[in-house]
Amino acid sequence: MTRADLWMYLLIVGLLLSAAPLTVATRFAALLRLNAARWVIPLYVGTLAVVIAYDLFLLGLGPPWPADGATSIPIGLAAGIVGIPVAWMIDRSVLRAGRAFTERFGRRARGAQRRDRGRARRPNNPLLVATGGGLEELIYRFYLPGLAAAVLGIGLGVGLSLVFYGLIHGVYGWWQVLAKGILGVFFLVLLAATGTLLAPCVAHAGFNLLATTTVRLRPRAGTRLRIEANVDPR
Amino acid sequence: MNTPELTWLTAAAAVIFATVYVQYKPGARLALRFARALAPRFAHSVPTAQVTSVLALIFSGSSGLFLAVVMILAAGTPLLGLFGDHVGIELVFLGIGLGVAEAAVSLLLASSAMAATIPLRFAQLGRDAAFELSIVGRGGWIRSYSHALDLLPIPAALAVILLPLAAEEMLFRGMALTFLRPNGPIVAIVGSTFLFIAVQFTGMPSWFSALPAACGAVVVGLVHGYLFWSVPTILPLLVAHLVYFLFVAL
Repeated sequence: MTRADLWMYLLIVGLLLSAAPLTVATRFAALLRLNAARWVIPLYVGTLAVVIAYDLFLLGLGPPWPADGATSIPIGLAAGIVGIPVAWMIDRSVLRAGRAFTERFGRRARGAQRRDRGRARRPNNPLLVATGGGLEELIYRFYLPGLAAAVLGIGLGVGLSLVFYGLIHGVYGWWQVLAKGILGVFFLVLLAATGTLLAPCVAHAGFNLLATTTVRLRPRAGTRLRIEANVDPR
Repeated sequence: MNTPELTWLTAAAAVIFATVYVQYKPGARLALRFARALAPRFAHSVPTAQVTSVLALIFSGSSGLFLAVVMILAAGTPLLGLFGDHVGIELVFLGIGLGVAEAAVSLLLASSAMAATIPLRFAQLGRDAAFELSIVGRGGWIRSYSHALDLLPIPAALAVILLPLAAEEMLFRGMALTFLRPNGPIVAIVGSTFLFIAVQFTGMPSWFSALPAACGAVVVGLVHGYLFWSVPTILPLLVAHLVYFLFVAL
């Protein structure tokens, strides 16, 4: 196996790991028989850090920060802070539109499905969620599009990163997938406008902090059943 | 596409389809029949049904491996050539990383696909769909793998699990992709992946319970196809398939 072959293998592994780090964390929690409500977020943040280290050191992709930190850091911080309420408004607007659409056109939730929904709860550690939000930006706005672009081209690479970013929020329903996909586009615009990843990182971390301290999320119908289906019957 | 290429494609597709059909239809039935006949001799303190499924797994895996090897040799492809010119420990580590990464993407896609099709399944089955959900992912062949882990010591169980997985790699990458290689990467990778997805629906109780396996086949088929097309060595793909399976199904 030549160095080019080895590089391609590492690239594909990096690409796949960057696409679904949350699933790695969820599965490890299940395999280690850990309490998912308590352990998935810390495991997710750990997985994100490992995947970033893999991309940074093993693939040698380099840090995404621009060289002229003196100007880009204040610009990134300012744009990120301004981006927090904008991100919040985009997310709430899409979810409100989704709720209105479902009430107008959707079927009424059946009793069985309503019972299947898990208890609404806040994630256990808002600060950890905020950190994870910042790390997610590194993965979903920098490494994943870059790696996917190397294999599939820039358009598909960016599209794929937005799709996977939406899908990891799928446990809370399809409108969340759409809302987070649109939010991903906003973070990309923020990155393109400021030229530094600091802006979407700050905006995302701030958004997560706001969301986890003010909103209770409720898993969608069927989640509890699927979790039970994953419990080993032995 | 000119006439010789089209003739080759037709012949290759016919041979691949026939081999895969023999393995997954009459071959699987024959394996189960042999297993049922032999199981009572081995089932002393464990349920006969579990021994049957483990024996069926061994027979089916062996027959798949045998068929793939015969077809590859008959086509004049050197068998050892499938392992590349270098076999090293780094390929095993690459395989482990690849298996975990593929499993993560497959699980994400499978959970999304199941969420998208749950309303359809509820409409088909009514409240029985809830019962089906509780057994999804553990129906069909998946149950045989769990039984192998229950009944056998870990090394033996891994060997038994590796048999059908090796057969799949040899059939769909070693044979199908090699035969379709002259027709270009799109035909070879998409063709072998399509067949790989199709066989996931055999031996499963319903299309819905085959959905997670089919989503896995999309990811594994495309990724393994692309890697085998670029670097024709099957060892890391074998390791990745085993790790994928253990990560997802345990």
